[in-house]
Amino acid sequence: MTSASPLLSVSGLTVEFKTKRGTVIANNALSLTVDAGATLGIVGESGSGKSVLCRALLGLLPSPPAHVHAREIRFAGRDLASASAHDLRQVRGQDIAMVFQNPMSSLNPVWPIGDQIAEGLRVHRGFSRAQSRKAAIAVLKRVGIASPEIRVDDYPYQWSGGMMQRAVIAMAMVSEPKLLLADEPTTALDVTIQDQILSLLMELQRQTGMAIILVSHDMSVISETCDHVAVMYAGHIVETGRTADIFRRPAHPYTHGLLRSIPHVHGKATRLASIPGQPPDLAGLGLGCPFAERCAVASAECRERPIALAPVQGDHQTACFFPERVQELDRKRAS
Amino acid sequence: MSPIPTLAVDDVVVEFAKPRSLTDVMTGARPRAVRAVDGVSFAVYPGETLGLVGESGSGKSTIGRAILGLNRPVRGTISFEGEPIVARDKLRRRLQMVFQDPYSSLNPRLTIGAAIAEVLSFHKIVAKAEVPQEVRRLLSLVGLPGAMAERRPRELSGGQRQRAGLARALAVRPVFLVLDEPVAALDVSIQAQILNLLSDLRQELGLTMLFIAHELGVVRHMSDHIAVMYLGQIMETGPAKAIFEDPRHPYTRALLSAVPKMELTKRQRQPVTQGDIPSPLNIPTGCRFRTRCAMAQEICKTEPPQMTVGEGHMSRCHFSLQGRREP
Amino acid sequence: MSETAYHPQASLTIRLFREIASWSPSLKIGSALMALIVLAALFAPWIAPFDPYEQDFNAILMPPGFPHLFGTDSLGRDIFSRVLYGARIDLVIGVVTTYVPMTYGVVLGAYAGYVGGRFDAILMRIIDVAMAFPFLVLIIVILAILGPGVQNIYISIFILAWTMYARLARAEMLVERTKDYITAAEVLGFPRWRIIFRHGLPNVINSSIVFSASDFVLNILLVSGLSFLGLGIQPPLPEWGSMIAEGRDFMRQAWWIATLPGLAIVVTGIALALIGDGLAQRLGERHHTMV
Repeated sequence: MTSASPLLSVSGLTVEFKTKRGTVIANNALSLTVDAGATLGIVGESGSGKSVLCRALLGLLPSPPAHVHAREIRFAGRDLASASAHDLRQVRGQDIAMVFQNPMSSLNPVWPIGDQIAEGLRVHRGFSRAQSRKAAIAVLKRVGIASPEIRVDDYPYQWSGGMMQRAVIAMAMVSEPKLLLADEPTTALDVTIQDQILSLLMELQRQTGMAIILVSHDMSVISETCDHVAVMYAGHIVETGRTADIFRRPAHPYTHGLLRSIPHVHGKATRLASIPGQPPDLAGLGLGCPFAERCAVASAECRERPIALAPVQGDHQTACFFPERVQELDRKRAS
Repeated sequence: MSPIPTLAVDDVVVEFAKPRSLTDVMTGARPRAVRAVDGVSFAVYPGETLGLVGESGSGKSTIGRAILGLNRPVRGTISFEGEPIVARDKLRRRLQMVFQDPYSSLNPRLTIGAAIAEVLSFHKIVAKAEVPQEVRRLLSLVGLPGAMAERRPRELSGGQRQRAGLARALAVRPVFLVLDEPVAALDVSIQAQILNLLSDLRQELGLTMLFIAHELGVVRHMSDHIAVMYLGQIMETGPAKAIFEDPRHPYTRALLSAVPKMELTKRQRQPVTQGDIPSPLNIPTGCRFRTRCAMAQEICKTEPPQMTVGEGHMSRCHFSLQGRREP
Repeated sequence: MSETAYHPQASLTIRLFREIASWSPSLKIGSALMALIVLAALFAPWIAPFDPYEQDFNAILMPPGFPHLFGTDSLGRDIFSRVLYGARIDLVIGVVTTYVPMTYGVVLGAYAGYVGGRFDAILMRIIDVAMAFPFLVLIIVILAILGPGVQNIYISIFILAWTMYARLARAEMLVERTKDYITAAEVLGFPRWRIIFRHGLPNVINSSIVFSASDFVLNILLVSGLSFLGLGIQPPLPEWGSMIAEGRDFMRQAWWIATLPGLAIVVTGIALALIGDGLAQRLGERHHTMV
């Protein structure tokens, strides 16, 4: 976030869907940056727009229902926002790779795993069958699959969830991407397996120096893996900054509420502070802060002024007009 | 603490038959069975909540369903208030369930009110004339406005559906609730609302609960006692505080260490376990956790460990650990 | 415990209006067309300018014009009136041959899907055998045994047509059975019949309803075809299929005798196809949850 020439710089990204109920603004003029080798976490609940963001960055949203426009999406010096479909396809799978939540649906059930990993190399870099098979075995070993030279011919149904996710990561890593987008990569996995996969991702990052954007609803996952965090709500980024700052001193009532509503394994079991109400219908959002309805410290102005990120201190930015009121929330502690 | 548990499970074994393929039939191979639950025993006392925690293949959902009569154990007994319960028992009404998936737990064609009313009239909980009133009472008990009765499930959010499902379960005035991952499918902020609701209701209605979940933080928040399951057996059981502060079984320790914590620095450590969870079709001999246990010895391969006895905090390991875990 | 603002339920008329407004163009057009056909059938006695059986030897084989909008046939009967009255006959045929087998077909299929085991295995084998033979051939075989006539056509359809519905309902039941609301009904102590028929059945008939739209017109065609062959409806009843049969000999000099009833069948078929298509979409939307 502080570097002069970040690897990825997004400015004014808006994604709209025209639905029967009205226009849904899934991403509302988002701006973010990611430095090379750094990890940005994107945290949000359902409807926040975090998954749409990932797909928009890679141009994976089908364009009739979705309308994507951005002032700029600058990646490694190129502007992706104005790139042709052909150029985007080059970037995708080579420099930017993506890992999705459910490994079972990321893998083609009728192809051997090795073939699926090798395909990227054959398409993008013209490797021969033999070369790409060798590379596939090598990358399977790298992601921790035992006996990769045998397992390279396995079908997905023969593998467990954790192993499949490793295979998906292998597919992503095989082209040595500069940026890895991971959309809830461990949500569908058991705790001990999640532990392994997160360690794997961190280790791969250390080895290759790639940047990671990690999307999750689980803040503890993000706290353990990300340098910077962007908190999303109803299509907006409502707070962003370094992980330690955000989690120690949240400057937005939503972030605060989210942190207080997590039942902690290692803390005392007290009554959870919940955020009343539920996330808004994205088709019916008016002006003003989308969180105002559920906010214990909102005032009339909050419902009228359109929100924008403003600095609190250094890197730490918030879209709340009254970040100083966040401290009051602890005192108010509604149930 | 009354001596008679509300619910007691004694050495229950639940098997699922693996369908025989044509080659199996032709070679005369015996039908294989998966032991999803392999000798589980526990007791839940009135007003208490037992948290059942485990990963895939642990058997926690299976034992929950066995308690409700949804599958039939091949061995062992399940007792309600001291008496063994059999299938199709009238008593079963007093044990109800809250499900994980808010999207399939309500009949899409019935309004919420109709679903609850059906329970009330079928079981004659209240007189016919009082049904609408009772529906409203139940809805407000779970925090839903009375007018929700006219809505269909598809018009409700995930959190609202869970509340509706809860209202339906409470309509029959149960004494014991099995909650199978009731908040796993909900957003964090809604999750907190539902957990608070469950805590309040538990107190108001004097419910006894079996809380099944894979998320340790959630389980800790809701439970008085905890049982940790792995591949069909209980590895460790004890008071919630003891399990979290003084875990005695290597698996419990691994689970607790594996849970991401709200660190403020990036993780540097190695993963706590190596390898995958074995398939229930291929349970390791001896101690079933040995394939991933940092402490495994020769004896673990040959001798299945028994539960150590002692003071309500028991663990199934040859080397049950003592002493507090480092923070 | 607060929830977001609650909007009270709108009145029935408004909800009905909103429902129809949400229909796809297919469903709207199909329904409008079908409604027209049904109204024409219902009000035939008032709309038809002539008695469909009245013969007028001064006006045989007249082309479409005035006063005979669709012309006349070889006996001087007004084709337009006959087509209108024919709608009554063919719509009744459609309803009886489609919805009667659908009721017990869906019931059998839903039951089999839920209970599984031997009942399911036997039922499926029966269905497999029945569906292995061409439908028309089997009907003709049955008619050969029972003799020709509309009643016997109905009987033979009742013997065979339920199989498709049973299969569709069973398939849907296999899916629904895994859903938690069925499990909840079991845990709540409801008896099995209640779970299958009150909870399961309404949720497994969608594909059957959609199928019935095309089944309807196919059955009309079947009966028309059999009548055409002389096995079903006998003249002088103005059934569209037998009208086509009667008009066959006159295709050169009086094309309207066969063609216009045929057009009636086509229009009905189009209406039902549109409805079937639109229903498939609409029912799917309603069944699946809004996330």
